[in-house]
This record gives sequence, C-alpha cells and structure tokens, in this order.
Amino acid sequence: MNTPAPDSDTSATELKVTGEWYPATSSARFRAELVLGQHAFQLHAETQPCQQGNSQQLHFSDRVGNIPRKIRLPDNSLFQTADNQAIDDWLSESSNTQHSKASRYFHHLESNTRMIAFSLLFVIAFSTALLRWGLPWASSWVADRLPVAVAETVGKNTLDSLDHLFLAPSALSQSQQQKIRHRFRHEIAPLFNDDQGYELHFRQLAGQPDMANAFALPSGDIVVTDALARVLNAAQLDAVLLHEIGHIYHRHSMQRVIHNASLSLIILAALGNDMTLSEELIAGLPVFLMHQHYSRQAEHEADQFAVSALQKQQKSPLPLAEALEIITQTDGENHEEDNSDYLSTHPATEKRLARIREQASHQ
Amino acid sequence: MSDITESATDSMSKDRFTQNHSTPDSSITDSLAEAPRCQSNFQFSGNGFEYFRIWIVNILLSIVTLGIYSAWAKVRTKRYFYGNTFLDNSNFEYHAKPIQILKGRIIAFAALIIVMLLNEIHPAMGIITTVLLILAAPFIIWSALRFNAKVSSYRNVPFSFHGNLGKAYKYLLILPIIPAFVLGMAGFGLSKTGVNSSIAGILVSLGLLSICLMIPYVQAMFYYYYINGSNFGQGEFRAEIKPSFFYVTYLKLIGWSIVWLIIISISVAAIAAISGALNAATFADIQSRPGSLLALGPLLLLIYLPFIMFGIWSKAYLQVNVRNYTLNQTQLDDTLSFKSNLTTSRLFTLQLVNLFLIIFTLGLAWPWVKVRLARYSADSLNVEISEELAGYVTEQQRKQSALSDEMGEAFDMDADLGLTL
Repeated sequence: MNTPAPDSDTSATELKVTGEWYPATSSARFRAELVLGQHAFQLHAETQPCQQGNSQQLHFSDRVGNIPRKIRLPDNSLFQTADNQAIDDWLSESSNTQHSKASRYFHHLESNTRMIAFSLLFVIAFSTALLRWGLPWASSWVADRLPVAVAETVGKNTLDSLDHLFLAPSALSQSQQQKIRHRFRHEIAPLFNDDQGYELHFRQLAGQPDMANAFALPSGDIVVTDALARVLNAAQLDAVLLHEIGHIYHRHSMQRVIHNASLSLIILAALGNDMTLSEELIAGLPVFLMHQHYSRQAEHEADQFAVSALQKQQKSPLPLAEALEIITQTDGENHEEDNSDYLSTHPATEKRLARIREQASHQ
Repeated sequence: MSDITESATDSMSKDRFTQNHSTPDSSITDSLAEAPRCQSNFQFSGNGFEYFRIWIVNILLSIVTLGIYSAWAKVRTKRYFYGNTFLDNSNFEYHAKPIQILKGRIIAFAALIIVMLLNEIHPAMGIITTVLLILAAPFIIWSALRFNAKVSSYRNVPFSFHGNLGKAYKYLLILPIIPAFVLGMAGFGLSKTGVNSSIAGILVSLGLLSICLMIPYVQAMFYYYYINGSNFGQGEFRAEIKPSFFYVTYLKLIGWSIVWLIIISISVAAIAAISGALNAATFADIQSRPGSLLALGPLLLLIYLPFIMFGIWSKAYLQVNVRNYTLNQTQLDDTLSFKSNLTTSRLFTLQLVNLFLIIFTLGLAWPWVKVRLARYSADSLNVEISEELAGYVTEQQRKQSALSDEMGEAFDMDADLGLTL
C-alpha cells in the first residue's frame, strides 16, 4: 500500500490473500501475500523485494473445483492461493477486470445445485433417447444406404460359418426341395424386383432335427429347416418365406450389426479409452439387452411386410399366424415370459398373432 | 537462495499435507554444507462429488454444443486432476488452451471424413489410408508426448519432451516388425522357389509369433525413450530400463494366468454341479429349450464373474509391475528419485469395486472411480528429494512447429506425466 486511498470504494474492494509465490523461470517457492486493490496490486514475498503494478495486468486462472488459484503477474511469475472464495469475491466486486465474469462462469454452473440436477436429468434422458430411438433410427438409415455388395459379402461368410458350427445338410428329398424352390422362384421372389437376389437353402439344426425354424441372412440367403418344411403346408410356408424376405428387405441384420458396433463405440467413448478387458465384457451387456428389444421390433416389421405382400396378392394373411403358432409349439417356447421390453427373449408371440389376425379380419 | 526456500518449505509443512523430513529441522543455517534429504509423498486432494459436478456439466455442455465444448471439458478435467495432485505442498498444473485442443479435434474429424470419403470412392483406398495411418502413428504419438509435456508444469516450471522423431519411428514402427518382415520375406522367397513349402509356412508363422515376442522389448524401449527424453525445466529425467524385466513380467503373468484358468474351471464346474443338484428339473428344462436362454442369466453371470475377475487382475498385475519398475528406475538428475509401491491386490480390489460401482449406477459413478484411482495412484508414490527442488530453471524455449503442436492433440492421445493409473 502506498498512500491510503481517499475514497472508501477502493478500500472496500481491497483484498489481502496469503499463498505462495513462484518466480518466473525457476522452481523456487516463497511464502507471499498479495494485496489486491481496485487499481493496483502489491506482492510481498518473503525476503523478496516488494512487487507492485496495475491490477488490470494480472491474469487469473479459471476456477476449477478447489484447486489452488493461479494469478500470473506481469513479469510471468506466479502467485498461488488456496483461498478461491476470497478471489472470487474480489473479482465479482471489481467490475473492471476482464476476468470478472469468465473466470468464474463455469464454476458457477458446476456449483449450482439446480444446474447439477438439470444436467443429471438431461444426460439420463438424452442417453435413454439416444439408445431407444436415435441409434435404431440411424442404424436403419445407414443400413438402407449400404450397397447390396456389402450385405452379400457379410451374408456369404455367415452361412459358411453357420454350416460349420450349427447346421447339418438337409434330409429332405430332392423332389420336396425342388417343389418348394420352384414355388419360391416363380411365385414369391418375382414379387420383389429389387436388385437383391433371394436364395433358398435347406438345412437341419445340428443335433436338433425337430427344430422348426427359418432365418434370413443379409445376403438374401434364406435358410429353412427340414422340420419347418415338414410341418407347414404350402400357404403357411410361403407366408414364412415372405416374413424372412421382410427381414432382408428391411435389412434387419445389417441394422443390428451397425447398431451393435455404434453402441459399443458410444460406450467406449463415454467410458474413455482406458477400458479393461472385463469392462468391455460388461459393455457387452447393454448391447445384448438392446439387441433383444431390437429383434422384437424387427419381427413386427417382417410380419407387416409379409401381411401386406399377401394382401397385395389377394391372399389371406392367416397362414402366417398359423405358421407362427405351429413354430412356437414345436419350439416348446413358453408364453408366460415377462413382457418387459428389454428382457423378453422372443417378441411376445401372442401380440404378433393378435395383430396378424386383426389385419386378416379387416380384409 | 536455497536456504530461504527451504525455510519456506518447512513453515508450510504445517499445512494439511504431511511431510517427513529425515533431517529434524533444516533451518536457515544449513546452507551448502549438507544437502537436505527428505521424503515426500504425492497427495491427491480431489473428491468424488466435486468432480461429479464438473463432469456432469461437461457432458451437458458437450452435448448441447454438439461436441465443441468437449475441448473445454478436457482442459477442465485435466486441470482438476493435475491441480489436485500435490508434491511437497505444490501442485501440478495443466495449461493447454482449449482452443488448441479444439483445433486438433477439428483436424482429426476432417481427416476421418476424408478417409471415409476416399474409402467410398475406391475400396483400395482403404488399404492406402490404413498404411498412411500406420506410418503417421509414431509422429502423432511423438507430437502428443511433446505437447502434453509442454502444457504441464510444476512450481511454474514446465516439463518438456525432447526425444527424437527418428527414434519414435525406430521403437514404434521399425523394431516391432523387423523380425516378422525378415522371416516373412524368407518364407515368401522359399515358397516362390517351391522347394519346401512346409518350411516356408513355419517361417511365416514364426514371423507372426515374433511380433508378439517383440512386444516386451518394444515396450521397454519405449519407456526408456519416453523417460530419458523428458525434462523438468533444465533438469533431465533418467531411467535404466531393462527389457529383461518386461520379459520376466510377461512370463510371470502367463504363469499366473494358468493358475487363474485352473481356478476358473474348478469354480465353473462347481457352480454347474451345485445348480444342477439344486434344481435338476429346471436345468433339464433349460437344455431342452435353448430359446429361453435368458433363464440361464444368473447362472451365466456366476460363470462370467471369474472371467471378469481374471481380466481385471491381469491388467492390474501388468500395470502395477510396469509402473513400479519404471518409476523406481527413474530419477531427476541427482535431485529426486521415485518410490512407487502399488500392489496388485490393492489395485485389483479397487478396480473390482469400481466395476460394480459403474454397473450399478449405470456409469454415473465414473467420477468417483476416477478420483479413487487418482488417490491410490498418488498415495502409492513417494519421492526422495536429495537436493534442492528450488534450483530448477525453465529451459530455454526450443523451437517446436505449430503443426506438431496441433497434431499432438489431434488424435487425443492421453500421453500424460504417467501419474494417473
């Protein structure tokens, strides 16, 4: 302090804080006191000559939590104090410092309880919405725009590895296979003249020859199990094949691949890049749950596809419902599963049946 | 000057941070005669809830600004962790400018878009861009090391990194692939002559194996390169890093893994047997209906658990051993040496609890996890100061191109002082 300030305003905004002073370009450390006035500052470092200057030339670090506040002096030396609050108070009163607002702004947000509560709710709502709608929408948008060639490569490799792992050659007679193939080629496939080629394959599930099921690969390959071909009549089988074409048409498997990959990426980005192996395993859990939910929606879409294709041909959609019932019965699938969206193993068959029957009755 | 600062240090030791001076009272009178020897502990003074508030606001603002704020978020986070890490009552400081980081991220984003567009134009571009990225990787890492050192400081004196770029290429790109390249070429040459295709095959697989065998060596070399290239002011860090230590560590890890796998298989068998005995009917039911796989959920989780524990354990084992070794080998001139005493069991339990915290809060416990790790990391690190810490002088600014500054952050490499776990 040189001479006591005549007006009381200046002395009101004068602040004394203790801390440490680090000279420029050296790691020495001194206990120090900083006197901050409206216009001028003085620094008294232990055993060092007093330093003074214009308060405007001080540079205050932004406040982050409660880490020591750094105040850079014009000679590039550093004064540091743990008394964040005193500095904040002084800054808020001295309107003429360029840092009065900016250096405290984010800290204000971070210490405001309402802001924290709002952030928390917003982040939860945002991530839920992203998982629930954003990601599925984006995946289907990308899947629809993917060249057919990509889907074909993916699918071909899949069938090869499935053959290795889970499938056995068909035991159906050639004539039976021919009959179904003929109907498929001449009655079903021509309905859709997109550039996607559809191909029918007959297989058994290894070790479970009585499992009646069908599935579609993104390449347009549709696999029908022997048991399915045996238990269904022609109309029912056609309906199932249309349902499978629906999966391919909507590119459900590609959507799922993209969906899973981006979900994993998001989790990785959110948790940072230092994940351990096991955290990745855990990150797989939401992927698994989302996938379950996803398949339910996909089944509905494929059903709708089959129903409208049948209706266009002036046929009844009822065989699809019949086929569904037969498949679930031979599958031994229980119907009392809980219907919580994310945990149901198979889309609730009852709901699907009801919807198809309702559409049939509208005809 | 040295005595004055020492007295300042002493009077400050009454602060909230403890400090064990082996010399009873180094007062103003002790000057050049005896170098003060003292031990000092790293301290971390952050707390979970405080960081939670910073973290959640960071996420909110990053979403609202479509990612632009993420650069500011990164700087605030780094400042929080550096600023709360104390050694000898002074804290570390991170002073990168968010705008530098934002520029880097924009460059990286633009590069990503260009790569994607190129791949769209021609599939062969994918190979070219991958090769380019591999070729650029050492440069990017080198730049990140330089950038991160430059924006970190302690007691108003910045760190710096002077490792040479050629060595980054040598250790990160050339050494790892040389044996593989030689063996691969030999195998390829042999198969061309058609003399002995089985030997050629063996050579090629040996080549692939050699990449794995090079990992410990390359890791050791890289730590050597990183530590010996680092400076604090004009003071130089030194470390004698022996590749043999890394080989031994990996071998031990393999040995322990075998023990783990035996434990896992026994416990899995036990779980299966117990649950089978408890409810044979249900189990048979499950087997007959593979569709209701989810009924297996709790059981699967039980079987999953040992694997998860193994994953955490092996990562903790490597981290603990490598960090203890490299830090204990490190010293700053003759002034300061480190003593890191992490233990695998502590880090393992810490990480296991962290994992459950994360799962049961759906990720919201992340800030607490980071703080717990930072605290353990600091608590387990001591330094022995044998000379004045005050004598370090900021080094003359060496020239560094603006481009490499930005590239350093462009790919968001987290190359820091190595203080965090």
